[in-house]
Amino acid sequence: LPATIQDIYQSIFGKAATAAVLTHLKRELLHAIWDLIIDERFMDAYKNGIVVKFFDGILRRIFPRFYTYSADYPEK
Amino acid sequence: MGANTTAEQKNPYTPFLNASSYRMVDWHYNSSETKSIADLDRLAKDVIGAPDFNPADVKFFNAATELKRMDDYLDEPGFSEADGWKERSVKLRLPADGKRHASEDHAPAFEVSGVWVRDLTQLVISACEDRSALNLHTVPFELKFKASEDGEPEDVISELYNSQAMNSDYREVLTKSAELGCELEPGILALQFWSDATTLANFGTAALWPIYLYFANLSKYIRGKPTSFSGQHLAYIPSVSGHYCETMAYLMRIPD
Repeated sequence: LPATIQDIYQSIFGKAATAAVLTHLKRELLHAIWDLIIDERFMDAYKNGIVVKFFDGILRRIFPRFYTYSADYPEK
Repeated sequence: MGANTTAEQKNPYTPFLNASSYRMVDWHYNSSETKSIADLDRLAKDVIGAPDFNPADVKFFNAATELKRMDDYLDEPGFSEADGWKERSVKLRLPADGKRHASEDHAPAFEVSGVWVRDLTQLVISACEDRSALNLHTVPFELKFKASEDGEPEDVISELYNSQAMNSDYREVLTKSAELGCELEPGILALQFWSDATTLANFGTAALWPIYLYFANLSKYIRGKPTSFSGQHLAYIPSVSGHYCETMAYLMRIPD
C-alpha cells in the first residue's frame, strides 16, 4: 500500500487511519488484484476450456485449474 | 516501453545489436579486474571463437556506445508488454469509525496505481506452446504401490498429476468436453500460486510483493531446478511497507 494513504486518509476524515483500517485495506488490495487477474477471458477458459496447439503440434482443449495457493497473511 | 518490442523479439541480444557485441561486453564485465590467463583463453574461445561471432558486426564497435546502450536499457521499466504485462490501478473504498455511507460505492476511494499484472489466460497458452510443454502431463494418472504380492494397492503420493484431486477434476473435464462435443484430447493445466513479500536488499526498504505461479503438470524434479526457469510471475503488488514504515513516514512527514 503506497505510503500516501495516511495523508489522503487524514485529509478526508481528519484523523489518521488506524492499524485495523490499514490491515483491512491491504486485504482489499490483494482481493482487487485477484479480481484483475481472474478476468472474463480466464473465466471462459476455466468453464469451457481453451483450444491450444501444443509444441508437439497436437491441438488439445485445456482447462486451467487451481490446486494450491500459498501466501503470507494478506494483511501483513 | 513497448516501442522496441518487435526488435526485442527478433534480437535475443537486446540491448546489444548482435551476438558479437554482446560477447565482447560480456567478456569485459565477466572477467577478473586484472586480466588473467584464463580470461585470455575465454576471449579466444567464447568471444572470437564463438560460432556466432562475426568480425563485420564489430567493425564500428565503440565500447562507450555499447555500455550506454546497456545503461539506457536498465533505466527502462522491467515489465514488457510483449510478455503480457499490463499496468493497472485499483480503487479501494476507505472505511472510518463512526462514518456512514449510503453504500460502499459512496465511501471515499483511494486509488492504488502501479499494479502490474499479467494475462493469466495468455500465460496458460504460452506454457502449452513452449518447447517445455513436451514435459507437461496434462492428463493425470494413478500410481499404485503394492507392498506384497497379495497386498492392497495403495496410492503413491508424489506428483500432482497422479493425485486424487487432479484425477477427479479430469473426470469432470471429460464430461464437460463431451457436452461441448469436442473431439480434441482434453487436458488440465494445473496452477499452483505463491505470494510472499521478498526483501531485495539487506538495507533500506526495497521490497517486492509478487504473486507467482508454477505449472504442476511439470514434474517436481524439473520444477525444483532454478535453472529450469519454470516459475512464472503473475502480478506485482505496490509497496509492501509495513505499518511501521507507513506510520513513521506519516509522523515524520517525509515527502514521497
